[in-house]
Amino acid sequence: MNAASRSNDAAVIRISQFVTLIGFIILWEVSARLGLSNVTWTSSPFRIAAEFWESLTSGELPRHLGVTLSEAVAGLALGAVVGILLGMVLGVSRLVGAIIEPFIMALNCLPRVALGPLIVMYLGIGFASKFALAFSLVVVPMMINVFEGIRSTDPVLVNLLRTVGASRMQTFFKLLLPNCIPWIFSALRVSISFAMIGAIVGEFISARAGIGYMIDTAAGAFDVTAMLMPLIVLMLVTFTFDRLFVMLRNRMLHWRPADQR
Amino acid sequence: MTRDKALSLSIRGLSYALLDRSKTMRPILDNVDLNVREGEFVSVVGPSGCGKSTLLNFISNLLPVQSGELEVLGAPVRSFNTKVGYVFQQHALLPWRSVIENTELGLEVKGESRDERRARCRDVLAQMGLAGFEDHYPSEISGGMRQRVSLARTLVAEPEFILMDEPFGALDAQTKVLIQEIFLQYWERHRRSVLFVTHDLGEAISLSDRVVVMSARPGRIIADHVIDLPRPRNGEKLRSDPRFIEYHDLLWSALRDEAANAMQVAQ
Ligand SMILES: Nc1ncnc2c1ncn2[C@@H]1O[C@H](COP(=O)(O)OP(=O)(O)OP(=O)(O)O)[C@@H](O)[C@H]1O
Ligand SMILES: [Mg+2]
Repeated sequence: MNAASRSNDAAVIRISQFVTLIGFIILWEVSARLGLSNVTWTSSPFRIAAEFWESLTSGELPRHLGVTLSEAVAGLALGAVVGILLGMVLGVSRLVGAIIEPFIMALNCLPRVALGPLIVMYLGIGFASKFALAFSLVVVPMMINVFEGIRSTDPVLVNLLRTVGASRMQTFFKLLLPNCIPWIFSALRVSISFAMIGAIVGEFISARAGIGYMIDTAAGAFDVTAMLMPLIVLMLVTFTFDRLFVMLRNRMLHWRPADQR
Repeated sequence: MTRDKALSLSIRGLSYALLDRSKTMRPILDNVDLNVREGEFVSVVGPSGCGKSTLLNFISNLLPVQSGELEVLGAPVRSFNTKVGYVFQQHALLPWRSVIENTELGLEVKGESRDERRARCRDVLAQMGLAGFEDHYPSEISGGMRQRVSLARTLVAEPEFILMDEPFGALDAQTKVLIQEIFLQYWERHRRSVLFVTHDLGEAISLSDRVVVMSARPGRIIADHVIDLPRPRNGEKLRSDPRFIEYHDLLWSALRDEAANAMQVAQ
Protein backbone atom coordinates (compact mmCIF):
# COMPACT_ATOMS: atom_id res chain seq x y z
CA MET A 1 0.00 0.00 0.00
CA ASN A 2 1.38 3.41 -0.85
CA ALA A 3 1.75 6.32 1.54
CA ALA A 4 -1.02 8.41 -0.01
CA SER A 5 -3.70 5.72 0.28
CA ARG A 6 -2.51 4.93 3.81
CA SER A 7 -2.90 8.51 4.96
CA ASN A 8 -6.25 8.49 3.14
CA ASP A 9 -7.25 5.46 5.22
CA ALA A 10 -6.12 7.23 8.39
CA ALA A 11 -8.37 10.19 7.57
CA VAL A 12 -11.33 7.91 6.85
CA ILE A 13 -10.78 6.14 10.18
CA ARG A 14 -10.57 9.39 12.14
CA ILE A 15 -13.66 10.90 10.53
CA SER A 16 -15.70 7.71 11.02
CA GLN A 17 -14.70 7.58 14.67
CA PHE A 18 -15.66 11.21 15.21
CA VAL A 19 -19.01 10.79 13.46
CA THR A 20 -19.82 7.67 15.48
CA LEU A 21 -19.06 9.43 18.76
CA ILE A 22 -21.01 12.58 17.96
CA GLY A 23 -23.86 10.53 16.51
CA PHE A 24 -24.11 8.47 19.69
CA ILE A 25 -24.17 11.56 21.91
CA ILE A 26 -26.79 13.31 19.77
CA LEU A 27 -28.98 10.21 19.64
CA TRP A 28 -28.78 9.86 23.41
CA GLU A 29 -29.61 13.52 23.99
CA VAL A 30 -32.47 13.62 21.47
CA SER A 31 -34.07 10.45 22.78
CA ALA A 32 -33.91 11.92 26.29
CA ARG A 33 -35.47 15.21 25.17
CA LEU A 34 -38.23 13.51 23.19
CA GLY A 35 -39.02 11.27 26.13
CA LEU A 36 -38.03 8.12 24.24
CA SER A 37 -35.71 7.23 27.09
CA ASN A 38 -36.29 7.81 30.77
CA VAL A 39 -33.71 10.25 32.14
CA THR A 40 -34.15 8.81 35.64
CA TRP A 41 -32.59 5.59 34.36
CA THR A 42 -30.29 6.64 31.57
CA SER A 43 -29.69 10.37 32.19
CA SER A 44 -28.55 12.46 29.21
CA PRO A 45 -25.33 13.96 27.87
CA PHE A 46 -26.46 17.46 28.78
CA ARG A 47 -27.24 16.51 32.38
CA ILE A 48 -23.96 14.70 32.72
CA ALA A 49 -22.09 17.70 31.31
CA ALA A 50 -23.86 20.04 33.72
CA GLU A 51 -23.12 17.71 36.63
CA PHE A 52 -19.50 17.57 35.49
CA TRP A 53 -19.18 21.33 35.37
CA GLU A 54 -20.73 21.81 38.77
CA SER A 55 -18.58 19.13 40.37
CA LEU A 56 -15.48 20.45 38.68
CA THR A 57 -15.96 24.07 39.76
CA SER A 58 -16.90 23.12 43.30
CA GLY A 59 -13.65 21.16 43.54
CA GLU A 60 -15.43 17.90 44.43
CA LEU A 61 -14.48 16.01 41.26
CA PRO A 62 -10.79 17.01 41.26
CA ARG A 63 -10.50 15.95 44.90
CA HIS A 64 -12.07 12.51 44.39
CA LEU A 65 -10.32 11.93 41.10
CA GLY A 66 -7.00 12.83 42.73
CA VAL A 67 -7.59 10.24 45.46
CA THR A 68 -8.45 7.43 43.03
CA LEU A 69 -5.65 8.30 40.64
CA SER A 70 -3.00 8.37 43.35
CA GLU A 71 -4.15 4.94 44.58
CA ALA A 72 -4.26 3.43 41.09
CA VAL A 73 -1.08 5.00 39.76
CA ALA A 74 0.90 4.11 42.89
CA GLY A 75 -0.41 0.54 42.65
CA LEU A 76 0.45 0.41 38.96
CA ALA A 77 3.94 1.82 39.48
CA LEU A 78 4.95 -0.52 42.27
CA GLY A 79 3.12 -3.45 40.66
CA ALA A 80 4.94 -2.83 37.38
CA VAL A 81 8.37 -2.55 38.99
CA VAL A 82 7.92 -5.64 41.15
CA GLY A 83 6.21 -7.58 38.34
CA ILE A 84 8.96 -6.76 35.84
CA LEU A 85 11.69 -7.76 38.30
CA LEU A 86 9.94 -11.01 39.24
CA GLY A 87 9.27 -11.82 35.60
CA MET A 88 12.94 -11.32 34.79
CA VAL A 89 14.11 -13.51 37.66
CA LEU A 90 11.70 -16.22 36.55
CA GLY A 91 12.69 -15.88 32.91
CA VAL A 92 16.44 -15.81 33.49
CA SER A 93 16.77 -18.47 36.16
CA ARG A 94 15.37 -21.69 34.86
CA LEU A 95 15.51 -23.33 38.29
CA VAL A 96 13.78 -20.55 40.24
CA GLY A 97 11.31 -20.21 37.40
CA ALA A 98 10.42 -23.90 37.45
CA ILE A 99 10.03 -23.93 41.24
CA ILE A 100 7.74 -20.96 41.68
CA GLU A 101 5.82 -21.02 38.40
CA PRO A 102 2.85 -23.10 39.71
CA PHE A 103 2.51 -20.88 42.79
CA ILE A 104 2.38 -17.78 40.66
CA MET A 105 -0.18 -19.29 38.31
CA ALA A 106 -2.30 -20.43 41.26
CA LEU A 107 -2.19 -16.88 42.63
CA ASN A 108 -3.22 -15.63 39.23
CA CYS A 109 -6.24 -17.95 39.33
CA LEU A 110 -7.36 -16.37 42.58
CA PRO A 111 -10.11 -13.81 41.88
CA ARG A 112 -8.09 -11.06 43.50
CA VAL A 113 -10.85 -8.47 43.82
CA ALA A 114 -12.39 -10.96 46.24
CA LEU A 115 -9.39 -10.29 48.47
CA GLY A 116 -10.72 -6.74 48.85
CA PRO A 117 -12.62 -7.18 52.13
CA LEU A 118 -9.63 -8.97 53.66
CA ILE A 119 -7.19 -6.28 52.56
CA VAL A 120 -9.46 -3.54 53.92
CA MET A 121 -9.62 -5.46 57.19
CA TYR A 122 -5.85 -5.60 57.39
CA LEU A 123 -4.94 -2.15 56.08
CA GLY A 124 -7.91 0.03 56.98
CA ILE A 125 -10.13 2.14 54.79
CA GLY A 126 -7.53 4.70 53.69
CA PHE A 127 -5.01 4.85 50.85
CA ALA A 128 -3.08 1.70 51.79
CA SER A 129 -5.85 -0.83 51.14
CA LYS A 130 -6.73 0.56 47.68
CA PHE A 131 -3.10 0.81 46.75
CA ALA A 132 -2.57 -2.80 47.85
CA LEU A 133 -5.57 -4.01 45.88
CA ALA A 134 -4.43 -2.20 42.72
CA PHE A 135 -0.92 -3.60 43.24
CA SER A 136 -2.20 -7.16 43.63
CA LEU A 137 -4.13 -6.91 40.36
CA VAL A 138 -1.21 -5.48 38.42
CA VAL A 139 1.77 -7.46 39.60
CA VAL A 140 0.85 -10.89 38.21
CA PRO A 141 0.01 -9.93 34.61
CA MET A 142 3.14 -7.76 34.49
CA MET A 143 5.22 -10.65 35.70
CA ILE A 144 3.71 -13.20 33.33
CA ASN A 145 4.22 -10.92 30.36
CA VAL A 146 7.86 -10.20 31.14
CA PHE A 147 8.43 -13.90 31.76
CA GLU A 148 6.96 -14.73 28.36
CA GLY A 149 8.99 -11.92 26.78
CA ILE A 150 12.22 -13.38 28.10
CA ARG A 151 11.29 -16.91 27.16
CA SER A 152 10.39 -15.86 23.64
CA THR A 153 13.94 -14.70 22.96
CA ASP A 154 15.23 -16.27 19.74
CA PRO A 155 17.73 -18.99 20.75
CA VAL A 156 19.86 -18.11 17.73
CA LEU A 157 20.35 -14.63 19.19
CA VAL A 158 21.25 -16.12 22.57
CA ASN A 159 23.87 -18.24 20.79
CA LEU A 160 25.12 -15.15 18.98
CA LEU A 161 25.67 -13.31 22.26
CA ARG A 162 27.46 -16.34 23.70
CA THR A 163 29.79 -16.71 20.72
CA VAL A 164 30.84 -13.05 20.82
CA GLY A 165 31.82 -13.66 24.43
CA ALA A 166 29.05 -11.75 26.21
CA SER A 167 28.70 -12.21 29.97
CA ARG A 168 25.32 -13.09 31.47
CA MET A 169 24.91 -9.44 32.42
CA GLN A 170 25.68 -8.27 28.89
CA THR A 171 23.31 -10.85 27.43
CA PHE A 172 20.62 -9.58 29.75
CA PHE A 173 21.02 -5.89 28.91
CA LYS A 174 21.77 -6.24 25.22
CA LEU A 175 19.29 -9.00 24.37
CA LEU A 176 16.77 -10.18 26.98
CA LEU A 177 15.70 -6.76 28.21
CA PRO A 178 15.19 -5.06 24.83
CA ASN A 179 13.41 -8.20 23.65
CA CYS A 180 10.77 -7.81 26.39
CA ILE A 181 9.97 -4.14 25.74
CA PRO A 182 6.89 -4.89 23.59
CA TRP A 183 5.66 -7.35 26.23
CA ILE A 184 6.17 -4.77 28.99
CA PHE A 185 4.06 -2.25 27.11
CA SER A 186 1.20 -4.60 26.37
CA ALA A 187 1.23 -5.56 30.06
CA LEU A 188 1.15 -1.88 31.06
CA ARG A 189 -1.84 -1.26 28.84
CA VAL A 190 -3.81 -4.08 30.47
CA SER A 191 -2.56 -3.11 33.89
CA ILE A 192 -3.71 0.50 33.94
CA SER A 193 -7.35 -0.58 33.84
CA PHE A 194 -6.64 -3.35 36.38
CA ALA A 195 -5.15 -0.72 38.69
CA MET A 196 -8.26 1.45 38.33
CA ILE A 197 -10.49 -1.57 39.02
CA GLY A 198 -8.47 -2.30 42.17
CA ALA A 199 -8.80 1.27 43.45
CA ILE A 200 -12.53 1.50 42.67
CA VAL A 201 -13.39 -1.87 44.20
CA GLY A 202 -11.46 -0.88 47.31
CA GLU A 203 -13.47 2.32 47.48
CA PHE A 204 -16.73 0.43 47.04
CA ILE A 205 -15.89 -1.74 50.01
CA SER A 206 -15.18 1.16 52.27
CA ALA A 207 -13.83 4.65 51.73
CA ARG A 208 -14.30 8.33 52.49
CA ALA A 209 -13.18 9.67 49.12
CA GLY A 210 -12.49 8.67 45.53
CA ILE A 211 -14.42 8.03 42.33
CA GLY A 212 -15.73 4.72 43.73
CA TYR A 213 -16.97 6.58 46.78
CA MET A 214 -18.68 9.20 44.56
CA ILE A 215 -20.45 6.49 42.57
CA ASP A 216 -21.45 4.61 45.71
CA THR A 217 -22.89 7.76 47.31
CA ALA A 218 -24.80 8.68 44.14
CA ALA A 219 -26.19 5.14 43.96
CA GLY A 220 -27.46 5.54 47.52
CA ALA A 221 -29.29 8.70 46.38
CA PHE A 222 -30.58 6.94 43.24
CA ASP A 223 -28.93 9.64 41.10
CA VAL A 224 -27.95 8.06 37.78
CA THR A 225 -26.43 11.26 36.41
CA ALA A 226 -24.13 11.57 39.40
CA MET A 227 -23.16 7.92 38.97
CA LEU A 228 -22.42 8.12 35.27
CA MET A 229 -20.44 11.37 35.38
CA PRO A 230 -17.47 10.13 37.48
CA LEU A 231 -17.57 6.84 35.62
CA ILE A 232 -17.14 8.56 32.27
CA VAL A 233 -14.43 10.84 33.66
CA LEU A 234 -12.52 7.82 34.93
CA MET A 235 -12.91 6.05 31.62
CA LEU A 236 -11.49 9.04 29.77
CA VAL A 237 -8.58 9.35 32.18
CA THR A 238 -7.74 5.65 31.86
CA PHE A 239 -8.05 5.91 28.11
CA THR A 240 -5.58 8.82 28.14
CA PHE A 241 -3.10 6.66 30.03
CA ASP A 242 -3.52 3.94 27.43
CA ARG A 243 -2.82 6.39 24.60
CA LEU A 244 0.25 7.65 26.44
CA PHE A 245 1.56 4.12 26.75
CA VAL A 246 0.92 3.54 23.05
CA MET A 247 2.81 6.72 22.17
CA LEU A 248 5.70 5.80 24.40
CA ARG A 249 5.80 2.29 22.97
CA ASN A 250 5.81 3.54 19.39
CA ARG A 251 8.70 5.76 20.30
CA MET A 252 10.68 2.94 21.85
CA LEU A 253 9.83 0.53 19.03
CA HIS A 254 10.62 3.03 16.29
CA TRP A 255 12.81 0.34 14.70
CA ARG A 256 9.74 -1.71 13.84
CA PRO A 257 7.79 -1.05 10.67
CA ALA A 258 4.82 1.17 11.64
CA ASP A 259 2.22 -1.57 11.09
CA GLN A 260 4.03 -4.02 13.40
CA ARG A 261 4.36 -1.91 16.49
CA MET B 1 54.55 -27.34 1.61
CA THR B 2 52.16 -25.75 4.05
CA ARG B 3 51.83 -28.98 6.04
CA ASP B 4 54.13 -27.83 8.81
CA LYS B 5 52.05 -24.72 9.44
CA ALA B 6 50.11 -24.43 12.70
CA LEU B 7 46.65 -25.94 12.80
CA SER B 8 43.67 -23.68 13.39
CA LEU B 9 41.45 -26.69 13.87
CA SER B 10 42.20 -30.25 14.76
CA ILE B 11 39.40 -32.76 15.28
CA ARG B 12 40.12 -36.40 16.18
CA GLY B 13 37.39 -38.99 16.42
CA LEU B 14 34.59 -36.59 17.27
CA SER B 15 31.32 -38.45 17.79
CA TYR B 16 28.01 -37.23 19.03
CA ALA B 17 24.70 -38.89 19.75
CA LEU B 18 21.57 -37.61 21.37
CA LEU B 19 18.38 -39.06 22.78
CA ASP B 20 15.55 -38.68 20.35
CA ARG B 21 11.88 -38.57 21.18
CA SER B 22 11.53 -42.33 21.45
CA LYS B 23 14.38 -42.31 24.04
CA THR B 24 16.83 -44.13 21.81
CA MET B 25 20.34 -42.81 21.24
CA ARG B 26 20.58 -41.38 17.77
CA PRO B 27 24.07 -40.91 16.35
CA ILE B 28 24.57 -37.51 14.70
CA LEU B 29 28.33 -37.39 14.13
CA ASP B 30 30.41 -40.51 13.70
CA ASN B 31 34.14 -40.41 14.28
CA VAL B 32 34.88 -37.16 12.45
CA ASP B 33 38.52 -36.31 11.73
CA LEU B 34 39.23 -32.89 10.29
CA ASN B 35 42.12 -30.42 10.20
CA VAL B 36 42.17 -26.82 9.06
CA ARG B 37 45.61 -25.27 8.66
CA GLU B 38 46.32 -21.67 9.48
CA GLY B 39 45.13 -19.48 6.62
CA GLU B 40 43.36 -22.34 4.89
CA PHE B 41 39.87 -22.10 3.44
CA VAL B 42 38.04 -25.41 3.90
CA SER B 43 34.47 -26.08 2.82
CA VAL B 44 32.20 -28.80 4.15
CA VAL B 45 29.45 -30.15 1.92
CA GLY B 46 27.00 -32.83 2.86
CA PRO B 47 23.33 -33.76 2.69
CA SER B 48 20.84 -31.88 4.79
CA GLY B 49 20.71 -33.05 8.40
CA CYS B 50 24.12 -34.77 8.34
CA GLY B 51 25.42 -32.69 11.25
CA LYS B 52 27.27 -29.77 9.61
CA SER B 53 25.78 -27.11 11.88
CA THR B 54 26.30 -29.43 14.83
CA LEU B 55 29.98 -29.67 13.92
CA LEU B 56 30.34 -25.88 13.90
CA ASN B 57 28.52 -25.68 17.23
CA PHE B 58 31.15 -27.94 18.78
CA ILE B 59 33.98 -25.85 17.40
CA SER B 60 32.42 -22.63 18.73
CA ASN B 61 31.76 -24.17 22.17
CA LEU B 62 27.97 -23.93 21.83
CA LEU B 63 27.92 -27.71 22.40
CA PRO B 64 30.18 -29.52 24.89
CA VAL B 65 32.30 -32.32 23.43
CA GLN B 66 30.85 -35.76 24.14
CA SER B 67 33.61 -37.97 22.81
CA GLY B 68 36.71 -37.32 20.78
CA GLU B 69 39.30 -34.55 20.74
CA LEU B 70 38.85 -31.01 19.56
CA GLU B 71 41.51 -28.31 19.47
CA VAL B 72 40.86 -24.83 18.15
CA LEU B 73 43.77 -22.41 17.59
CA GLY B 74 46.06 -24.79 19.39
CA ALA B 75 44.05 -25.31 22.57
CA PRO B 76 41.19 -27.55 23.68
CA VAL B 77 37.82 -25.79 23.59
CA ARG B 78 36.71 -24.87 27.11
CA SER B 79 35.08 -21.49 26.72
CA PHE B 80 33.93 -19.05 24.08
CA ASN B 81 36.90 -17.77 22.15
CA THR B 82 36.50 -14.31 20.63
CA LYS B 83 39.25 -15.19 18.15
CA VAL B 84 36.74 -17.58 16.58
CA GLY B 85 34.06 -15.84 14.52
CA TYR B 86 30.76 -17.52 13.70
CA VAL B 87 28.48 -16.48 10.84
CA PHE B 88 25.20 -18.26 11.53
CA GLN B 89 22.91 -19.98 9.07
CA GLN B 90 20.32 -17.30 9.97
CA HIS B 91 21.56 -13.71 9.82
CA ALA B 92 20.86 -13.31 13.57
CA LEU B 93 20.64 -9.51 13.65
CA LEU B 94 19.15 -7.75 16.66
CA PRO B 95 16.07 -6.04 15.20
CA TRP B 96 16.25 -3.05 17.55
CA ARG B 97 19.82 -2.22 16.57
CA SER B 98 20.72 -0.30 13.45
CA VAL B 99 23.12 -1.77 10.90
CA ILE B 100 26.16 -0.19 12.52
CA GLU B 101 25.01 -1.03 16.05
CA ASN B 102 24.63 -4.65 14.99
CA THR B 103 28.04 -4.63 13.38
CA GLU B 104 29.75 -3.32 16.51
CA LEU B 105 28.18 -5.87 18.88
CA GLY B 106 31.31 -7.99 19.25
CA LEU B 107 33.60 -5.00 19.75
CA GLU B 108 31.15 -3.49 22.22
CA VAL B 109 31.09 -6.68 24.27
CA LYS B 110 34.90 -6.63 24.32
CA GLY B 111 34.76 -3.10 25.71
CA GLU B 112 36.34 -1.25 22.82
CA SER B 113 35.77 2.52 22.82
CA ARG B 114 32.80 3.78 20.87
CA ASP B 115 34.71 6.02 18.50
CA GLU B 116 37.19 3.34 17.60
CA ARG B 117 34.63 0.63 16.99
CA ARG B 118 32.42 2.96 14.95
CA ALA B 119 35.33 3.85 12.71
CA ARG B 120 36.23 0.20 12.16
CA CYS B 121 32.62 -0.77 11.51
CA ARG B 122 32.16 2.01 8.97
CA ASP B 123 35.21 0.76 7.17
CA VAL B 124 34.10 -2.87 6.98
CA LEU B 125 30.52 -1.92 6.08
CA ALA B 126 31.87 0.16 3.21
CA GLN B 127 33.86 -2.87 1.99
CA MET B 128 30.63 -4.87 2.06
CA GLY B 129 28.95 -2.23 -0.07
CA LEU B 130 26.79 -0.98 2.78
CA ALA B 131 28.03 2.60 3.02
CA GLY B 132 25.02 4.87 3.57
CA PHE B 133 22.99 2.16 5.30
CA GLU B 134 24.67 2.41 8.72
CA ASP B 135 21.63 3.87 10.43
CA HIS B 136 18.99 1.64 8.81
CA TYR B 137 17.29 -1.04 10.88
CA PRO B 138 17.32 -4.71 9.79
CA SER B 139 13.62 -4.47 8.89
CA GLU B 140 14.46 -1.70 6.43
CA ILE B 141 17.08 -3.54 4.36
CA SER B 142 16.99 -6.51 1.99
CA GLY B 143 17.83 -10.10 2.87
CA GLY B 144 21.13 -9.88 0.99
CA MET B 145 22.09 -6.77 2.91
CA ARG B 146 21.23 -8.42 6.23
CA GLN B 147 23.50 -11.28 5.34
CA ARG B 148 26.30 -8.83 4.57
CA VAL B 149 25.76 -7.06 7.91
CA SER B 150 26.04 -10.41 9.65
CA LEU B 151 29.26 -11.06 7.73
CA ALA B 152 30.59 -7.58 8.56
CA ARG B 153 29.82 -8.12 12.24
CA THR B 154 32.01 -11.22 12.25
CA LEU B 155 34.83 -9.79 10.11
CA VAL B 156 35.16 -6.51 12.02
CA ALA B 157 36.19 -8.41 15.14
CA GLU B 158 39.17 -9.72 13.13
CA PRO B 159 38.78 -13.38 14.10
CA GLU B 160 41.68 -15.71 13.42
CA PHE B 161 39.34 -18.54 12.54
CA ILE B 162 35.95 -18.02 10.91
CA LEU B 163 33.09 -20.52 10.99
CA MET B 164 30.47 -19.92 8.33
CA ASP B 165 27.22 -21.88 8.16
CA GLU B 166 25.64 -21.55 4.73
CA PRO B 167 26.06 -17.79 4.98
CA PHE B 168 24.84 -17.22 1.44
CA GLY B 169 22.32 -20.06 1.36
CA ALA B 170 19.20 -17.94 1.55
CA LEU B 171 20.18 -15.52 -1.21
CA ASP B 172 19.02 -15.34 -4.80
CA ALA B 173 21.59 -16.41 -7.40
CA GLN B 174 22.69 -12.91 -8.46
CA THR B 175 23.04 -11.49 -4.96
CA LYS B 176 24.89 -14.61 -3.97
CA VAL B 177 27.48 -14.20 -6.69
CA LEU B 178 28.06 -10.56 -5.72
CA ILE B 179 28.50 -11.31 -2.04
CA GLN B 180 30.78 -14.26 -2.81
CA GLU B 181 32.99 -11.90 -4.83
CA ILE B 182 33.11 -9.38 -1.98
CA PHE B 183 33.96 -12.07 0.51
CA LEU B 184 36.52 -13.72 -1.75
CA GLN B 185 38.34 -10.40 -2.16
CA TYR B 186 38.29 -9.82 1.58
CA TRP B 187 39.58 -13.32 2.21
CA GLU B 188 42.37 -13.16 -0.37
CA ARG B 189 43.59 -9.95 1.30
CA HIS B 190 43.49 -11.26 4.88
CA ARG B 191 43.87 -15.05 4.56
CA ARG B 192 42.12 -16.07 7.75
CA SER B 193 41.38 -19.72 8.43
CA VAL B 194 37.83 -20.53 7.38
CA LEU B 195 35.54 -23.50 7.81
CA PHE B 196 32.69 -22.95 5.40
CA VAL B 197 29.51 -25.04 5.30
CA THR B 198 27.50 -25.00 2.10
CA HIS B 199 25.16 -27.03 -0.08
CA ASP B 200 26.46 -25.39 -3.20
CA LEU B 201 29.33 -27.34 -4.80
CA GLY B 202 30.19 -24.50 -7.16
CA GLU B 203 30.47 -22.13 -4.24
CA ALA B 204 32.64 -24.59 -2.32
CA ILE B 205 35.03 -25.09 -5.25
CA SER B 206 35.34 -21.45 -6.21
CA LEU B 207 36.11 -20.27 -2.66
CA SER B 208 38.08 -23.11 -1.09
CA ASP B 209 41.54 -24.55 -0.84
CA ARG B 210 39.98 -27.85 0.19
CA VAL B 211 36.52 -29.37 0.12
CA VAL B 212 35.45 -32.19 2.42
CA VAL B 213 32.31 -34.24 1.88
CA MET B 214 30.23 -35.56 4.75
CA SER B 215 28.04 -38.66 4.63
CA ALA B 216 24.33 -38.71 5.43
CA ARG B 217 23.57 -38.88 9.16
CA PRO B 218 25.47 -39.98 11.16
CA GLY B 219 27.97 -37.61 9.58
CA ARG B 220 31.43 -38.91 8.67
CA ILE B 221 34.04 -37.41 6.38
CA ILE B 222 33.89 -39.53 3.21
CA ALA B 223 35.98 -37.45 0.80
CA ASP B 224 38.59 -34.73 1.05
CA HIS B 225 39.80 -32.94 -2.09
CA VAL B 226 42.41 -30.20 -2.47
CA ILE B 227 41.16 -27.58 -4.93
CA ASP B 228 44.27 -26.69 -6.86
CA LEU B 229 43.12 -23.59 -8.71
CA PRO B 230 45.21 -20.41 -8.87
CA ARG B 231 44.38 -17.33 -6.78
CA PRO B 232 43.27 -14.62 -6.93
CA ARG B 233 40.20 -16.28 -8.31
CA ASN B 234 37.40 -14.89 -10.33
CA GLY B 235 34.22 -16.82 -9.61
CA GLU B 236 32.63 -16.29 -12.98
CA LYS B 237 35.64 -17.16 -15.11
CA LEU B 238 36.35 -20.16 -12.92
CA ARG B 239 33.06 -21.80 -13.73
CA SER B 240 34.04 -22.41 -17.35
CA ASP B 241 37.51 -23.72 -16.39
CA PRO B 242 37.75 -27.47 -17.25
CA ARG B 243 39.37 -28.20 -13.89
CA PHE B 244 36.42 -26.59 -12.11
CA ILE B 245 34.10 -28.95 -13.96
CA GLU B 246 36.33 -31.90 -13.08
CA TYR B 247 36.23 -31.02 -9.38
CA HIS B 248 32.51 -30.57 -9.60
CA ASP B 249 32.01 -34.04 -11.07
CA LEU B 250 34.37 -35.57 -8.54
CA LEU B 251 32.55 -34.02 -5.55
CA TRP B 252 29.14 -34.64 -6.99
CA SER B 253 29.79 -38.35 -7.48
CA ALA B 254 30.81 -38.58 -3.81
CA LEU B 255 27.79 -36.61 -2.70
CA ARG B 256 25.09 -38.05 -4.90
CA ASP B 257 24.75 -41.42 -3.17
CA GLU B 258 24.76 -39.72 0.22
CA ALA B 259 22.09 -37.25 -0.79
CA ALA B 260 19.95 -40.16 -2.00
CA ASN B 261 20.62 -41.98 1.29
CA ALA B 262 19.66 -38.92 3.30
CA MET B 263 16.37 -38.64 1.44
CA GLN B 264 15.64 -42.28 2.19
CA VAL B 265 16.48 -41.89 5.87
CA ALA B 266 14.11 -38.95 5.99
CA GLN B 267 11.27 -41.01 4.51
N1 LIG C 1 18.03 -30.31 19.49
C1 LIG C 1 17.97 -31.40 18.72
N2 LIG C 1 17.20 -32.44 19.08
C2 LIG C 1 17.13 -33.54 18.31
N3 LIG C 1 17.78 -33.67 17.16
C3 LIG C 1 18.56 -32.68 16.74
C4 LIG C 1 18.69 -31.48 17.50
N4 LIG C 1 19.53 -30.66 16.83
C5 LIG C 1 19.88 -31.31 15.73
N5 LIG C 1 19.31 -32.52 15.68
C6 LIG C 1 19.52 -33.54 14.64
O1 LIG C 1 20.88 -33.50 14.35
C7 LIG C 1 21.09 -33.71 12.96
C8 LIG C 1 22.11 -32.73 12.47
O2 LIG C 1 21.57 -31.44 12.50
P1 LIG C 1 22.37 -30.23 11.85
O3 LIG C 1 21.57 -29.00 12.10
O4 LIG C 1 23.76 -30.25 12.34
O5 LIG C 1 22.32 -30.62 10.31
P2 LIG C 1 22.93 -29.84 9.07
O6 LIG C 1 23.89 -30.75 8.42
O7 LIG C 1 23.42 -28.51 9.49
O8 LIG C 1 21.65 -29.69 8.13
P3 LIG C 1 21.26 -28.49 7.14
O9 LIG C 1 22.17 -28.66 5.96
O10 LIG C 1 19.85 -28.80 6.76
O11 LIG C 1 21.45 -27.22 7.86
C9 LIG C 1 19.75 -33.58 12.30
O12 LIG C 1 19.41 -34.82 11.75
C10 LIG C 1 18.78 -33.19 13.37
O13 LIG C 1 17.62 -33.97 13.24
MG1 LIG D 1 22.75 -26.56 9.18
